[in-house]
Amino acid sequence: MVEIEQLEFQYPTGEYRLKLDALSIAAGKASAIVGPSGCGKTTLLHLISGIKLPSRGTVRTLGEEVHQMQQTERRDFRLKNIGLIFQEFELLDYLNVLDNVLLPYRISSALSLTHEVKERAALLLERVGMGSKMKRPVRQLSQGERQRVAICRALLTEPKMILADEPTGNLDTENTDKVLDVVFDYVHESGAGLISVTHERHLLERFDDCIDFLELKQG
Amino acid sequence: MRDSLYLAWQYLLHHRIKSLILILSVAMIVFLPTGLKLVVEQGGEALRQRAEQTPLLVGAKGSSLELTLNALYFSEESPEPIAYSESERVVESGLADAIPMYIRFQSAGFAIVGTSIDYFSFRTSRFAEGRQFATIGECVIGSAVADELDLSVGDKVISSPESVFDLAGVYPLKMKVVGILESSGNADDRAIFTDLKTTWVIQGLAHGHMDMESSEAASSILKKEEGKIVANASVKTYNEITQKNIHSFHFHGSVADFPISSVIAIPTNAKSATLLRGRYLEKDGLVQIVQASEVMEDLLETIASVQVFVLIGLGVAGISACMTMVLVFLLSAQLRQREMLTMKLIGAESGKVAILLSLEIGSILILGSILAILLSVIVAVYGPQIIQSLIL
Repeated sequence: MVEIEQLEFQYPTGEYRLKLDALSIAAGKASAIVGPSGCGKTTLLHLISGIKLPSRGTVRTLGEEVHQMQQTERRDFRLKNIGLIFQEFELLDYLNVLDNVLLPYRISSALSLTHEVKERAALLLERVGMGSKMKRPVRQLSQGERQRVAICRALLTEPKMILADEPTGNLDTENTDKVLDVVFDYVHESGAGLISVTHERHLLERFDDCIDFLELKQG
Repeated sequence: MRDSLYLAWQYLLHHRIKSLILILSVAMIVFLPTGLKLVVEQGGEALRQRAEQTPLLVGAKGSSLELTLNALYFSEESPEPIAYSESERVVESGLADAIPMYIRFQSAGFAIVGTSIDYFSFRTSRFAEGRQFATIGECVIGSAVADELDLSVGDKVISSPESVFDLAGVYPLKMKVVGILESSGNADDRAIFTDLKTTWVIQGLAHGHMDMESSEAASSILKKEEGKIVANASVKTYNEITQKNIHSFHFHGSVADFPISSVIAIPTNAKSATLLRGRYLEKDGLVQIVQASEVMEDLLETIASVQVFVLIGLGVAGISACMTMVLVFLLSAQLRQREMLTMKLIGAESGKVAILLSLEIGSILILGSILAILLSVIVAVYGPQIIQSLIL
């Protein structure tokens, strides 16, 4: 699913340099990346998804060398293949629940918002227990509900891979379980891969693999 | 584009107070200068038109503007009265026809205009209902008076006392409405026209009372001597002129000395106008003659010069408001950087965010401009009334 070789990444400020000799993450698996804050876990997710480009080396995601693609190709690749989940949910306060889920289809000309997409969004929201709150402004939702909406937004494009950046970092135990259930249900049903950055070690047993980012960098 | 517009609208609706303030700001920036120009142009045209239809005005020396505004627009500020003989003087000159005007009293806030029936033919007034006044105590009302007071032919209007504390002053007179003018869009709509003599009755220069020779009046008589009857206050005076009591109304004093506020002089030709104006040139005379259009042009020139300063002020205020709006948009964009980054991360084209922001700003500008146009249309329709109410 992901293969990284001789990766080097220099931040524009020049203050930090991320180096990875090799990393391979198998397809269709749920992998967790653990490590202390600020060690470059989020940057790694951005490199895998093509949001950031390496200074040197190769990043192959779903068999494609994303760093070799043109900007438009990278964006379209990300849209169609990767679902992004953020720690802070990143929902738009001025949109209701359904419109937030449909957002990728409203902001990209590569995706067309059809009736079928709207039905799929409604179905997803039903599945995560948000069916009755589709028209509600997201600012009225609890943290757990907001993250479930953000997950629906990531899953709507039916991605082959989910990249989650501390998806439960802002949630209590009950909501953490609910949110992970939604993600893992999708992964198991669709066969999609999951790479999730986390610092919550008690969650690791739910994942197939665990990558210790500090060990990886040292190795 | 439809989706971007949808998102832009959702943002504006969510921040509706901020959006409304910005829309109103745009509307004011666009409307204030254009609205002011419209009001001045439309109102000025209406003022000019009526002034040009009124050739010469004779009135007391003093403010020619006050004289003109009173004679043309029945303003509350009355010039010093002149004697009715001044109207006869114009006629006797053989140079012009004269229409005397006495505008001093009011009824329910509307001016009572004492004049002659020639006024209606001079103004080419058309009657929506009824006829001209024929005897004292009758009146013709403008269309706005009829609408606002819900009056029709046969109803009565009562003149207002000038001061409620002056018991010896002007007594209210009940006048019968015999005609209603068609709307003309000028000051005539908001006036009550009556015979000059009726206004003198209102002033107390003429009055009607019970027959002092009748047995009914015997108890009121204090003494009789050499054809003079002195009576006490119990004598019944009439506050309405009817067919029954009209013969009891009589004037005390010489009508030639009775007051009027102005005379509309209608010269037979240009030469007559010049000659007539020449006759009022004496320095120590108490009466002046003015050409209404000249007075109004002077007033409009003053308004125009004031307008320039106001427009400059509005321009400076408009630029400041525009800069503040730019600042608001920039700050808003700065505050929304995270939102924009999220959009880019989940697949928005780089130009899409810029389009979204442009649509939000564009919507505010368009809505503000539409509001400004609506306000301008309202001002264009009501411009003459606005400028008249500001001047009068």
